[in-house]
Amino acid sequence: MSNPRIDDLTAIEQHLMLAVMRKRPNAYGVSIKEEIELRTERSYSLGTIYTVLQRLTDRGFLTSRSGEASAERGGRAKMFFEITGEGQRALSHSLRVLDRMRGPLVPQEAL
Amino acid sequence: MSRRFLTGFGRSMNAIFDSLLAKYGFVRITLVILALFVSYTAGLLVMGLIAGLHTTLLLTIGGVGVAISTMLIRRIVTYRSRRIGKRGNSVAAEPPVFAESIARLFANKRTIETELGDRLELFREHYRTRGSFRAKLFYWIDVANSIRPKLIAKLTQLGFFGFAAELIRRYTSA
Repeated sequence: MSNPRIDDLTAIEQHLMLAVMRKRPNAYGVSIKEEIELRTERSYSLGTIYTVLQRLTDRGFLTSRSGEASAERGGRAKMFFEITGEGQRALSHSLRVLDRMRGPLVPQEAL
Repeated sequence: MSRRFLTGFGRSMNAIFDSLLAKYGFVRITLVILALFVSYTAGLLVMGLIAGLHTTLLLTIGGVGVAISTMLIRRIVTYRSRRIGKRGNSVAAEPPVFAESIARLFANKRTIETELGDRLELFREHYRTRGSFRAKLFYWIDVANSIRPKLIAKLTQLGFFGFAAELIRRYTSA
């Protein structure tokens, strides 16, 4: 098949990349977490989210830039994430693989 | 007993409990409830061992004790949340120091400050909307969920003593 590096996106990686795309240009830890909770009803910890975001950045699927610090965050800056072209390709490929697997399944009641 | 009587009784008990909370503070009342619960459980165990009471009876009495304690603790949480809601000073709220230190110890060096900033932002949001107790509880849960996979991985990789040494190294270099 195609590039093995593209094939291995896990479910959480797919969720994060989709959330980053949805929250663009305001995709940072809290907004990504809230978006995933809203749409999937799953709650990932911030530690998990940052570990995966870092992994995706290292693989070249995301880029990050630092925002401005605020008092609400104790003087700490936000880190905004954006998806790269390679990231978009990897995500579409991964979702297409899922779609192909799902295919035209025989409905349960027909069995 | 009619429904109206039960509702009235419940409201009066809540009012009495709230006035006790206002007078003695929620920490003291919580400690008293916990102490009562512990002695209650110990009493049940003694009764079970010495007097040889029937297990079903013991479990029933124990269950009633658990239910009452849970109800009282829940009432305390509601009372605290209402008070915090009235106060609404969330910007000055600080997260649990110990939890923050643990999170700092396990966080990735590149994203440590951002991660702590995000967690603080969530903590203050929870503090404003749900009160101090729940905000701290959610903070602890998030920290525990964040460090659990790293802790397991490190323990598997380094063993207990290696992991302890790694923690000391991280703590001294932070």
